[in-house]
Amino acid sequence: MMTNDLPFEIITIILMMLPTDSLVRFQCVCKAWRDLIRDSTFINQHLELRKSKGKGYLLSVLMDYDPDRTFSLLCDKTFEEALEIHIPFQSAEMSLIVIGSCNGLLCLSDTQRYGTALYLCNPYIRRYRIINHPITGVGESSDPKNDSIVLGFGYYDKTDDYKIVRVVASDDEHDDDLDLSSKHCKTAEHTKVDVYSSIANSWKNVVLESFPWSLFDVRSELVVCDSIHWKAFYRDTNEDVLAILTFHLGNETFGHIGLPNYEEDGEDLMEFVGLYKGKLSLFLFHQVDPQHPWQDHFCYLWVMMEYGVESSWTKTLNITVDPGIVRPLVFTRYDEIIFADSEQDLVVCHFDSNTAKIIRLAERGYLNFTSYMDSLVLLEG
Amino acid sequence: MIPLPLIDGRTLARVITYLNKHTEDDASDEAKRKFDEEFLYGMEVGVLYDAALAANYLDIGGLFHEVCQRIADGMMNKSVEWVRKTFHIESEFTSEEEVQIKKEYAWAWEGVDSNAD
Repeated sequence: MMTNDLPFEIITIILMMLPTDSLVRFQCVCKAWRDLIRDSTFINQHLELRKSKGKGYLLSVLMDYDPDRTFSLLCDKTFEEALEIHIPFQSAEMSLIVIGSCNGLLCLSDTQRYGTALYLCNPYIRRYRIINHPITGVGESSDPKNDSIVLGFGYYDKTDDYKIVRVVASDDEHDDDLDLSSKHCKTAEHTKVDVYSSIANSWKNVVLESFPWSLFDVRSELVVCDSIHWKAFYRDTNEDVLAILTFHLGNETFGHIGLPNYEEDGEDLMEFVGLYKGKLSLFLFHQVDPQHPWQDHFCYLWVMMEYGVESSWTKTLNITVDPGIVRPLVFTRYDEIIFADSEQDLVVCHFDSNTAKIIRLAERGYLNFTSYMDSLVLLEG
Repeated sequence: MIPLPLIDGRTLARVITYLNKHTEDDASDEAKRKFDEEFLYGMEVGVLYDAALAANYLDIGGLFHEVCQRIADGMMNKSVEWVRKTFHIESEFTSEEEVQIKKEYAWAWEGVDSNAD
């Protein structure tokens, strides 16, 4: 057939260009190929190549249990259905929330055991890891039922580590009796932060001096600049101010980014944080009011032109979105925002052209929705 | 004269044809893409491998990348046995080890004919 055998360096380049499922099969060809396909450097280069070719998906999975529940992948350019994959781990009777999606790996939690029963799963290659971690040592007199649990998931490329952050705050009823300064100090005792490392496959407690935050999003919205971002209330001396709480995946420390002053944009605006043209952005919208469905839906997009510099927040877009937004879901890499409307359909709105398109989904019900890219991550579990 | 001992005349001729097209002053990107399609279409696997080796040896990035992509496209749905035969690879796996891999990743063999060629 061929006059010279191809050297392994060239075979490596050819293999990097193969689709993920072919590579899973070709582990069987010989030991050298198997070891290469499982090598983390190869896996990351393969993923980068797929990203540069623009092959991406949107993944959805029903929250509530249904015997036919599957991971459903849509092409992120055309929104056509691409694949349906059965959930590889035992999920009967479970309600699932997707915490985040990085490099083809999802982090999910069972709502009944939120934050204590977690799954890392790569649906494309049907691999998963079960992570159970009970909550201990939060507050003394608190009732576990009043604990608020917030999760975040991110990837730190410098150590090739996928991390899960869990923040547990116990809601002590006696807080209201205390003066503000005591309340400020007390929150560190009542908050416990643990971080899971996928490389170590273990948890570590993060020691806090103070934690003047009140979180309300159960999961984070965004990972950028090596940090996980959540909206949260910052307990300033006189009041609670809405801001962005950050957790740096490398240093494992918390930080703070203030929001712009958007008072003049209107009242009763809701906030959604995402990435627009690679920059941290704040999307403001009025949640649709069923009693006044004819009202115009004005939305605003503020972009932080220089990450971390609060004075660089710039109002970039005023758009009108029709139909109205019930629940924003995700910013896509094509400068669009996807949200659920009042008909439980998905609406894709392209920011720059202000055009909207409705995607009718087969599934009805509360959907987890995230961007997704197929990869070999977690091939060996 | 620069001797090129590792490349046979036929492959070199093909590489030169490619380079001539790609260095044409008035050839648009679209025209080049069309040329690549026709040039590489229907090339036998053995010819592609020789072209890959040649392009790599001569450090012609564009051609090398194109040819590798062609080889990848041609092999992605093939069986494991076809890949071994084509690349002259001996598998050191025992039959038990092979069965184990096929069992662990059974989904990847769904819809693939075991003798696909």
